[in-house]
Amino acid sequence: MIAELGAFCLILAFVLSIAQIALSGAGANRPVLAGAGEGAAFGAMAMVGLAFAALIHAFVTSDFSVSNVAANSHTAKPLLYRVAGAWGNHEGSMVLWCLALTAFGSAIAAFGRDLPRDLKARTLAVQGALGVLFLGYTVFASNPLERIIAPPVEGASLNPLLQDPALAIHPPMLYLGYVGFSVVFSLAVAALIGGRIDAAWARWVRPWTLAAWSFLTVGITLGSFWAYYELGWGGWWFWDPVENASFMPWLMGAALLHSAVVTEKRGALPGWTLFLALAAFTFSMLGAFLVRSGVLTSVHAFAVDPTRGLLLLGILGLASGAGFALFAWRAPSLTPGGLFAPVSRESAIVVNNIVLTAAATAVLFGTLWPLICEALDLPTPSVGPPFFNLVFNPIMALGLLILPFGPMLAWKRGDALGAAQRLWIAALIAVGAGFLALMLVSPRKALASAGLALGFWLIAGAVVEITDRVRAFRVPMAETLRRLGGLPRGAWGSSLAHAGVGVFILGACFETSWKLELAEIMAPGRSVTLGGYELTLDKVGVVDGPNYLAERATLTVRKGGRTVCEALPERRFYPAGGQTTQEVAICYRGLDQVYVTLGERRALPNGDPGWLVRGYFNPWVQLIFIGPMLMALGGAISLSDRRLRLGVGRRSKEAAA
Amino acid sequence: MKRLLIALAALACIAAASDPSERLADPAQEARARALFKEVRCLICQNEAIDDSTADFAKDVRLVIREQIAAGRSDVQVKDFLTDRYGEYVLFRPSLSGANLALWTAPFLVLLIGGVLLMMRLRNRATPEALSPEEEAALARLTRTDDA
Amino acid sequence: MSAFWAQFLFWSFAVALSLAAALAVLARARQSADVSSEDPGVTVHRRQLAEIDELVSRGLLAPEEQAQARAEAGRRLLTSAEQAPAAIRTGGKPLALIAAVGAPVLAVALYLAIGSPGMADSPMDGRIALWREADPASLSPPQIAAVLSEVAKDKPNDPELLRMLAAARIQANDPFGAANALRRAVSLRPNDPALLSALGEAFVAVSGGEIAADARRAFADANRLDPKAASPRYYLAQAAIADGRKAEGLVGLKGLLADLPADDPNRANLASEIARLEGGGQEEDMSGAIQGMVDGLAARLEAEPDDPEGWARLVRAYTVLGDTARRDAALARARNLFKDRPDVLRTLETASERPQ
Repeated sequence: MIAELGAFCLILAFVLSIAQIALSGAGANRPVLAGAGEGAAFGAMAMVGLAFAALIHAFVTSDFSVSNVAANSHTAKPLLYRVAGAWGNHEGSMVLWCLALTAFGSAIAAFGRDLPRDLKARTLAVQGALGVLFLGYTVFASNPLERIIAPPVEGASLNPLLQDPALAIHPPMLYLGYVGFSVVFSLAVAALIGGRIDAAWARWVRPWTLAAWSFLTVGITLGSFWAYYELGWGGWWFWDPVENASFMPWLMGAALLHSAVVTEKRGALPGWTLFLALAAFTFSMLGAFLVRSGVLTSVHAFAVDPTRGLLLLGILGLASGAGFALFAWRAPSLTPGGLFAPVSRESAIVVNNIVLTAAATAVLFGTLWPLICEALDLPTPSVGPPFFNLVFNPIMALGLLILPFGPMLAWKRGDALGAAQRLWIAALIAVGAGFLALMLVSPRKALASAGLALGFWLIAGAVVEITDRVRAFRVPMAETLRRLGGLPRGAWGSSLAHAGVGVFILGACFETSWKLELAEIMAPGRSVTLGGYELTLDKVGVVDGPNYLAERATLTVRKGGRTVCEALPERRFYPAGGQTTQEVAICYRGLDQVYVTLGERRALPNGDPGWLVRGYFNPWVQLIFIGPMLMALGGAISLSDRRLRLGVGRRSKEAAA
Repeated sequence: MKRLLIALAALACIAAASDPSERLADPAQEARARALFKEVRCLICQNEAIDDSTADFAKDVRLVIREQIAAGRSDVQVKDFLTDRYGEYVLFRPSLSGANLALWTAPFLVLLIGGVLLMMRLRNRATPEALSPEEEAALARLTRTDDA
Repeated sequence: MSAFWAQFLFWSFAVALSLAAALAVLARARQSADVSSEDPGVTVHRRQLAEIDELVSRGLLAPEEQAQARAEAGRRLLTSAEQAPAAIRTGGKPLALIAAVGAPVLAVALYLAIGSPGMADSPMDGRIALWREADPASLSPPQIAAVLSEVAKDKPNDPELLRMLAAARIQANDPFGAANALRRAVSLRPNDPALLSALGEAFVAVSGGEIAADARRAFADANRLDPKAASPRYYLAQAAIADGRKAEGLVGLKGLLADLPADDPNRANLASEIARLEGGGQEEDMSGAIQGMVDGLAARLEAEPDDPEGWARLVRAYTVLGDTARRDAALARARNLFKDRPDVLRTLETASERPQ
């Protein structure tokens, strides 16, 4: 009964979304209907939530009469992964997508008190239309609550690579990010319909962009971390089509975050900000399409299905086609807004936007190029890491090089010399660190040392910005502290995020350039050295897992004769799918990691049993994951800035009056 | 930080994580082979380089590349050999010719167009005027109603 | 619970959910009926204007820039105040009511069309409970295995039960599960040759017929404990043959045949297997016929090369026959023919992989 109630709820949510279009669409100037549309949005979210709960219930109780559970679960699977199995497959993940979509609709209804009545109603109508598209797809083309009359006795298990805690929480975060941009998209379309695009509109777009971008940052980082320790060869970013699919909306979202500030503060670039708002969600939908259509091969992709891919492509074309058509129609009537000098905060942000757009173009072209060539009957090349390293990296490096200047410049007309004078100490730190790296780190690598310098430049630049804002060392300490307390959270947030980029660059450069690797066939009792560490294989035993059989090696990791950790890498065999996986063992050593995997069994020359052990010393690798977390934290701090919560200001004023 | 740098400086570059049974005896040749592996796609895998893959195909191609390097052939010759055998799809770096030029130049074209647009936006500018008395009056009216 | 009550309960909940949704629509509509006239757009711009003074007072904006910034923000405020908010109209209650009532009705209609109304859940626990009650003869092997594994959860230290569970799992085509159960059983009763022998057989089934190290160890232990038992002798002999020690294996098999009782149903199979191993002729005839078919295919592809599937089949055939020289030649030709078609190339690569 619960499964059927879930199926009913999903349909009710679909119908409520239709009602939401009609009610909110007609409610732009009729408060009663606008309210009814908001009620429909709440109802739709509640119903998708119940349907999702019913699906999870079916997974937990192993109800194989639900087709999705039969195809993607197994009674031997641990509880956590049975729960996560609900969104670890195509159909279930679409329900999660719809849940996020309707939840964001409800969030507009609930927290959009400061939006003008007509803008809010139209936004909800557009959000309802997106809901109809995606819920319609879920209900009619990919319904996870479809039933089987004669259920199988046992389910066909989930891909063992997906049985992982990081992967259990990675999709929800990623979807909150992807789908968060739907609000921005809806706000843009609603503003295009209403025709009022000004500083106030940008101010309303900003918090939603910040939230979506921060979620997306966390989601991508978790996905990257999963690939790092699950795939077992120490890489953390592969320029894989699915990674790229999440990276494109992230780049567009980052551009939008900045351009919206210009539109809000100066009324400038409204058309560009609108364009980015439409583009960010278009890339989100493109990502959803790429992951599910099977047009690109990838380690992350779901099972492929061309028909569904075509349907998703239709949804993408319909939604963003309508958005961009509206944009083309309205764009000529947009006023260019405030003016600014070549050296100004605005110019810096525009350069940032050009760089991010060029970078996103590189990712977009690199991802789709094989498809384009195939469609045009040209010889099909592969576009992989070498291309992105040669094109994406220099473009981004250019943008990051000028990044610290941006916050130091004033709006309208900045003082380049003044900014340079205030940043000299950061430049000194950066150049000094780069030089030290070049001299001290072996083997000597000039480009990587320059990369480290760039990382320090960004971090030091962010610190200089804060100290400059509070006039540290130039005014008495008490004054500095007073200013520190009065600094808006937005300033803290942006500085933290910029420093986070620097932290990431440090980790990425150091890890990529100076990691050490080894692969050795080892018998128990043998030792090898990896960097300053000595790895001794103590024994290899057999472990019975809940749904796998594993060999587990016990290695002692020593440094200078002292034991620093015990590594227990496993090689698992999952009989249900016949797959073999490696479970990596990681020793955390400050910012570094010693990363060990256990390979196949191989006889030594003398006939004794041995195992292929791979070890990696990944220096500063933690920074690769800490950096993006700082960026997301910066986003969250900016989001809590009271200036983004207009209602609070108004209420406090009312209280004072 | 300094301690770490010194600690790292003390290390020599360690043997790569290639399978010990496949490794070439000459470290310089082995390093060249590893660099090439990172640019060659494992055709039967899901978007992996042959350097990372455990598939038989990857193993065979690694063997072939190592043989050719040991026989003294240059990187370019090895790549040509691979594209003759498997087509362009086998290399992760698209060639800098023909239609692929569009791929290589598009991002830089965006940079260029963006730069030109920014210059144009900056050039046709006029100085903003101060508020006229009428505007001041209207503004005063608007802000007063707020305080009331 | 009877079918009627199940239906009744389901529809009660469905109606309650529908009512809740309708209520959400109507309640929010009612709540929103009273309006305040302030335009939030004007508020934003007014705040921006106020912020400029605040920034100056906190020293975050130079006083000389104040006038310009004020002029700009002021103009934006004026523009936004000029744009009168759209006239607010009352009414619309009928449409809200229609939506609130119509949505659930439409949902029920759609659900009746595509759902499975009233179909009960069938969680695993419930199904196992049903099977436990049922006549074992009416159950399929996987069902028996599921029931037994449920029983074994309560009695984890009963080797006899684990043996039965393993037998059921073998029947249910789950050799890995069987091996798992038997490993537990062996650890409980390590000196039972029958268990060890069953474990060895399960290992053989797991690895698809190959007698790997784990299986050999189990069979060797079983053989040590009970040198007469048939199964370990048979598999140890087969393992010897697989290692190339054919003579030793044949001696073992013949000894086993001599020891089998005259009425043992396996006698005939074993005898014919021994005959086949001694003669070894039949196999060659067979491979000759296969070779003929493969040559035919190769000749046809020479004449009509534009047949990707044919090439894949040829490559696979050479791979299976172990004819690497011809495989590589065919592969090279096919790669050249289809070098612009990555999908074909991939199929070819797969065909040239050694079968797992």
